[in-house]
Amino acid sequence: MVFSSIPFLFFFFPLFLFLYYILPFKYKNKILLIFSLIFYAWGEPVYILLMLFSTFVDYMNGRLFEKKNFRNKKLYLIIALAINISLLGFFKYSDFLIEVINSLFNVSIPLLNIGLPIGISFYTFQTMSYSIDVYRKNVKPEKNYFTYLTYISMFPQLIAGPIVRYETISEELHERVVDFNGFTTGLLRFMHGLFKKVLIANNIGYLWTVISTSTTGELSVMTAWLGLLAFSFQIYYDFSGYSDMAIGMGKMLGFNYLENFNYPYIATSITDFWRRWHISLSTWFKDYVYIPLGGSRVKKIINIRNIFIVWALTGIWHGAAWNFVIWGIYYGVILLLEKFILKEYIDKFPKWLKHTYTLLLVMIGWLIFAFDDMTLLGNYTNILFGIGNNPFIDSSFIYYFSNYFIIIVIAIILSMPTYHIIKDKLLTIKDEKTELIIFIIRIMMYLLLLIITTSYLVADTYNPFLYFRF
Amino acid sequence: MRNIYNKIIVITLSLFIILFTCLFIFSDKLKFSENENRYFQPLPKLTFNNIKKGEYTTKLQNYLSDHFYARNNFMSIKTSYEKLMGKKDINGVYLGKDNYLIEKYDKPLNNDKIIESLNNFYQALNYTNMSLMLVPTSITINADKLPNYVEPYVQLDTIDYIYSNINFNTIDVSKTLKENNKNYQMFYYLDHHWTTYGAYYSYLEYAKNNLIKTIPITDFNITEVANDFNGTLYSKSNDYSRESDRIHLFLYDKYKYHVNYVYHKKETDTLYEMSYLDKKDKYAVFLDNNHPLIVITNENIKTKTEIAIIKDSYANNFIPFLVNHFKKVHVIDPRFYKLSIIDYIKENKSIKDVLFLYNINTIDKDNGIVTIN
Repeated sequence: MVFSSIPFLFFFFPLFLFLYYILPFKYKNKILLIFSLIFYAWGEPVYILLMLFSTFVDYMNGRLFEKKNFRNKKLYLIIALAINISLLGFFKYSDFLIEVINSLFNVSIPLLNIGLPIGISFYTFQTMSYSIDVYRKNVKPEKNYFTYLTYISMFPQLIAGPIVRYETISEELHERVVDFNGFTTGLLRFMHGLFKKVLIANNIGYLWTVISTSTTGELSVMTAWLGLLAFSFQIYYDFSGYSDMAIGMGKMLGFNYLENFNYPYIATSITDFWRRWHISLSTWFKDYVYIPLGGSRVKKIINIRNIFIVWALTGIWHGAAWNFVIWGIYYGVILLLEKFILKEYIDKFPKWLKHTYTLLLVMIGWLIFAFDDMTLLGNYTNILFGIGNNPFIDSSFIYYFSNYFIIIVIAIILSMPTYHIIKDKLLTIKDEKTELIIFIIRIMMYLLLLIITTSYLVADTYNPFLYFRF
Repeated sequence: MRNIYNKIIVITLSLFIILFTCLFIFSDKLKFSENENRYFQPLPKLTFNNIKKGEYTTKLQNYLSDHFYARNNFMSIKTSYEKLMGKKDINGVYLGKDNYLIEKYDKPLNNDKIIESLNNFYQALNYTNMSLMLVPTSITINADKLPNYVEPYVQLDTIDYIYSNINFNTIDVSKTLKENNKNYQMFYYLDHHWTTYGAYYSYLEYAKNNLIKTIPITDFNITEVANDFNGTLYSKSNDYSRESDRIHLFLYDKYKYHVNYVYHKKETDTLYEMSYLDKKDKYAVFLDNNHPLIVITNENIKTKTEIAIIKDSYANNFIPFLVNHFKKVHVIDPRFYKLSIIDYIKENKSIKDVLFLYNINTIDKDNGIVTIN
C-alpha cells in the first residue's frame, strides 16, 4: 500500500488512528504492529516471513549480548550481519550477479527472477544498525520481540524510509506522548508530503515519462534538458514527500524521527548536497562503514579507498544495476576532488556559480540514475550535449514547456526555503485581524489542495512508486 | 491563537476525509459506469489464493476508487485543475480549439504486420473485388484545431506507407474529408468517431472507386436525433466545459431492410437502435454498437451482389449508405468474430466484394486485423 492512495488515506489510516487513539497506552504498540503487518502484507503477503525472520535474528543477537560473560560477541555480530546481508544480497542482487557472471565468462546461467521484497533495503539497514549499536553498547537491547518488531515494521517508515535508527526512538517505543498537539503538527506535515508527492512529483514526473520514452531521434536538445529537469524535480518531490509523510505520521503517533531532507537543491557544493539529501542514508554509511574503515584519520590513500567503498555501496544500495554503481562512483570521484583539490576554488566562487556548479552535477547524476540501459543512457547524453543531429529547439519543446511552466515555477520556488521564510515572517505578526485573515487563507488552501489531491487519487492515472528497486 | 487555528485546520481536513469515507460506505455501488463505458470492479472475494497472489488487494484498491463518492465530479475537478495549470492535453486527448477534443495519435507499431495480414487475406480470396479504406482521424482533418505547437505523428504517412504495400484497391478519403470539413463537421467534437457527414462523403469516394451510382445528399431525409451527445473523448478528458455534439441520421425511405444480428439472435427492420439515444454512448444508435456478425438484406433491391465489410466501429454509420447498393451486406468485426473470415466468405458464394474499413488509430492498437487469417 502506498500513502498516496484512496485505500490508505480514506480507510486504512483513519481506522488505524481511531483505534490507536482510543486504546490505552499499553495496547498502542500492539495495534501499531498489527496494522503495520497488514500494511506490509497488502502488497507482499509472502515476504512478510522474510521480515519476521530478519528481525528475529537481530533481536536474538541483542538478547545474547546482554548476557554476562558472553564471549563471542564479535563472532555473533558478524553472523547476524552476514545473515542480513545475504538475505538482502540474495533477494536484491542475485540476478544482477548472474548477469555479470554470464557476460564475463560467456555462460548462460538462467535468471532467478525473484521479485524484490518491498522496503527490504530500508528495514535491513535498520535492523543491522540495531545489532551494531547494541554491540557497541550505544543502546540497551530490546527485551520484547514484538516491541522490536514494531520498531522495524512501523508502517510510516517501512517502505520508503527514512532509515530510523533504534537509538532515535528506543525511549519513545516504551514511553511517548500521544496527544492532540502531536496530531496537529503531524497531520499538517503529512499533508505537505502528500501534496508534494501527488500534486508536484506525479505531475512533473509524467513529463519525464513522456520525454524519456519518446524516440530519441525526435528530441531536441532543449527538450532533453527539460526532461532531465523534470526528473530531478520528480525524484526530489517524490522522495522528500514520502519522508514528510513518514515524519508527519510518526509525530501523530508520538514518535520523533530525524529529518531526512534539508533543501538539497540549494546546496553550494556536492559535499553540501549530500549533507542535505537522504540524510538518514548518508549518515548510516558514515557511521557504519566509513568511520569503522578508518574514515579520514588514516593515510590519504586509505582514505581515498574508504570513500570509494562507501560510494560504490551507496550507489548499489539504490538498485541492482550498473548505472547505480556508476552513479555512486561518480559522486565518490566528485567528493574526492572537492575534498582534496576543488574546495579552495569553490569557496571563492560567487554564490550563483556555486549553485550552478552543484545543480549541474546533480542533474548529470540523475541522468545516470534514470537509465539502467546503457544504450539509452548514451543516446540521451548525446542529445543533451548536442552530439548528433538533433535540433537545438523545436516546437515540441515549446509545447511541453508551456504545458508545465507553472508547475516548474512552483517546483523551483518550493525547493528553496521560501515556505519557511514566509512562515517565520507571518509568525512575527501579532495583529489579531491579520492573523484571522491568514488563517482563513490557510484553511481554504489546505482544503482546496486536499480536494485536488483526492481528485488525482480517484482518477489514479499516474501514481508511480519509485522505490521498488531500493 | 495560532495553535488553535492549526487545530481547526486539522479538524477540518480530518472531517473531510471521514465524510468521504462514510459517503463511500453508505452510497449505492454502481455496477456499470456509463461515463467511462466500462464495468466497475465489484467487491473482490476474500480467498486464501487471492490474498497470496496479491490479487485481492489490487482488486480491492480498484473497488475503492471505482466506487468513490462523486467520482465523476472529482475527475472533472482534476481536469479543471490541470487546465488551470496550463495543460493542453489530458489523458491522451488534446483540448483543441473551437470546441474540439482531439485524440492523440502515436507512432504506429504494427504497420508491417497489418500489411502482411491484409495481403495474405487477399491472396487466399483473390477472385474477389477487394478494397481497403483507412480513415484518418480528427487529428489530421482538424489539424488547425490542435493547441499551438503540437506536432503530431503524421497519419497520412502511415496511410501512404500501408497503401503503397497493399496488393489490392485502396481508397483515399483524406482529401474529401478535408475538403468537405469546410461545410460540414466531418468529426464529432467530443467523440473519436466521424460524423454521418464524414461517412457520407467517404461513401461517395468508395462509390467512385467501385463504379457505383451514388445517391445525392438531397435525396436523404437528414434528421437530427440527438443534441446532447457527450462521447468517448468527453469521458476520457473529463473536460465538461464544452458544447455537446449533435447526431444526424441520413434516412432513406426507398428500401426496406432486414437486419440480422447473427450471434445475438436479434432480427429487426431498422439500421438504427434508437434506445441508445437515451443513454451515454449515443454513437451506438448506428447498428446497435459492435457485433461479431450482422447480415443486412435489402428487401426490394434488384441486384444480386453481396458485399462483406470487415471493420471497426467507424463503419457503423457508413454501412447505412452501402446497404442501398447491395442485396446483402455482411458486417464482420474481427475483434468479436472468432471463426475463419475466409471460410465465411468462401461459403457465401454471392459475396463478390470485400471492403476493409478502419480508422488509422484503432487499426494499429486493437489486434483485430492481424488475426483475420
